[in-house]
Amino acid sequence: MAALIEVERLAKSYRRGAQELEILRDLDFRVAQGEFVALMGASGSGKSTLLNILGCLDRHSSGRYLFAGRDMSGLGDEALSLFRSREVGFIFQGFNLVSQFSVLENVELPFLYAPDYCADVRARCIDALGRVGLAARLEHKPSELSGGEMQRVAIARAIVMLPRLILADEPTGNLDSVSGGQILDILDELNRNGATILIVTHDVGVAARASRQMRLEDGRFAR
Amino acid sequence: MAALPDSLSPLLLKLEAHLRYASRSLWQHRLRALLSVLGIVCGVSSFVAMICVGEGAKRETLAQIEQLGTSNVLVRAAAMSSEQAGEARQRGSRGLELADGERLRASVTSVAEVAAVLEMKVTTLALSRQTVPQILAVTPNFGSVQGLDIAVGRFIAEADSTERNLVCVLGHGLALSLGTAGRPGGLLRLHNSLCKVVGVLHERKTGKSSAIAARDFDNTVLVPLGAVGALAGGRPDAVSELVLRLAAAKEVLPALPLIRRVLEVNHRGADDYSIIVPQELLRQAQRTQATFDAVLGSVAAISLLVGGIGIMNVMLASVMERRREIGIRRAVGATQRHITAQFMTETVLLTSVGGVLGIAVGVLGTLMLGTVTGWVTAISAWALLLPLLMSALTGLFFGLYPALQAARLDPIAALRYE
Repeated sequence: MAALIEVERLAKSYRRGAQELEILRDLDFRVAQGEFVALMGASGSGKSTLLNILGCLDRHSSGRYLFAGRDMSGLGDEALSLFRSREVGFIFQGFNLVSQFSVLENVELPFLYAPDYCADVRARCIDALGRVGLAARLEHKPSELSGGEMQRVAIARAIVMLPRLILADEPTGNLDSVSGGQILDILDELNRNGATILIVTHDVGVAARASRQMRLEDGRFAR
Repeated sequence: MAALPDSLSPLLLKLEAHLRYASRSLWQHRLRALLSVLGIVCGVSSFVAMICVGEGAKRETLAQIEQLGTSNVLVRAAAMSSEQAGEARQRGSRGLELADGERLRASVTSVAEVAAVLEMKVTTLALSRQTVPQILAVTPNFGSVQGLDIAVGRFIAEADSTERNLVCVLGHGLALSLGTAGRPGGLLRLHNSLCKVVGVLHERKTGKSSAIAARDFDNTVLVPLGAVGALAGGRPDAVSELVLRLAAAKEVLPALPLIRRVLEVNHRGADDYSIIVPQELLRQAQRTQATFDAVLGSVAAISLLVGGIGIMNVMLASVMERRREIGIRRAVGATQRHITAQFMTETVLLTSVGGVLGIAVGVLGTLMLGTVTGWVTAISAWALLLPLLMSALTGLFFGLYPALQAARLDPIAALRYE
């Protein structure tokens, strides 16, 4: 399989006062198109930072990050935003839905920033919500949904633009086991349909559903 | 609805979606939004009311001055106490008379025509009118010099003056109130004589305030100056007013010194007349209007400034509160430009709503003010559009800083905000 993600000597550091904090050091790895990878590690090991860099929400300090062969280093705000809009779907632990918008409007949100806004936006959103089993809750507000349902809305929003990469940061962390299981089933289904999925998790059980596990320790991959 | 071109419809759809989302966000905090636009509402409404009242006053003044004629110069006999009149006589002045006009015409080349008016104090007709009409004895050229149009019949003719015909021309309002007697052919009793109505003037709008010295021709009886002797006796050549029509409006100011000098010599320095120059009144009115405009402009600007600062404050608070939402939008593909535009849209929407509310309040206030005080007000399109534009611009100006603050937020820090 062709590599969707290629990372070479990738590092991330922050300056806090006079101190230089190294979050990620010399990472080298590849993720093939269609893979389901679990990223594990203790709190503060740099998992979320790596996920944010791969999703172009954050920038790396040095090294190379190629997405489908394209070097993502040095891209400007417009190009990075377009990349997030087209290629990536984020799923967060805290769902991150806009509380004043309805379920449908939350899923519609990515289209506002896509260059190809079209008349069938509503139909595509309803289709995405149908795939996570929420086609009947279009006009509900997030506050009227359970945690599992909110996360399903977040998944619908992540997949509505048909991205190649889905980045999930502890998507089951705030859910009970039944709801968490449903979310993982949906991710499995998306992966079977060709999506590449990177999931950050503490949970060994969750990681076991991935085709490959990677473990970060202090910003490096554990041997 | 007509089908939209394919390239345009996605744009419009997107615009509609952006506006929908912006109004949804504002609606979420509607009370706060409403309170925050109160400053704009106050600013815009006072602006609208001031423009409408100012514009009404301006139009009325200009109309009155234009009725006097911008290429005319008026010489009026001054109202004097008996002491002042005695002093003038001592100096050897005969008061304002037809001869003044003839001398002015002979001495000042740019004076093209001179019309004369005598305000008569004769007991009037048996009329059941509350307001007593003004009776003016005028020269036949008065109509053209003063710009009076005849609606029915004719104006006073040269022959009427020379042959001392007892004829009269009535103002529009007066003619109406007289019924059939007010039409050409009707007869009117003036003092002890009967006058034949030969014409009726067109309606002429004059306001209530007469600061400009314009006459209310609507309620006037005009008779030939030559017939004054036959009507009421008295000095045949004494007049109350001379209207000098100059060849062109631009000749008025250069001719004034000479006009003053001729009158001074004629009246031997007696101060028993006054010179009214409509053009100068016009300039004075324009200067007053400019001052008024500057004052009202400043008041409106201060109101909008205060309103704008209030809006900026609210938007800054809104940006801080909605950091997480900003982070979400950035995560799903919004650029910094998108975030800037989103907050600018919300601010402009907010101030525009304030503008519309302000216009409604302003127009209502103007109408009420007009009804209560009787002032002439003029609600013009620019009195409505300018404040609306200004409120939108206030939104653009004061919304920019909060919008840039929002756009500069680090998406990751924004997403972590609880």
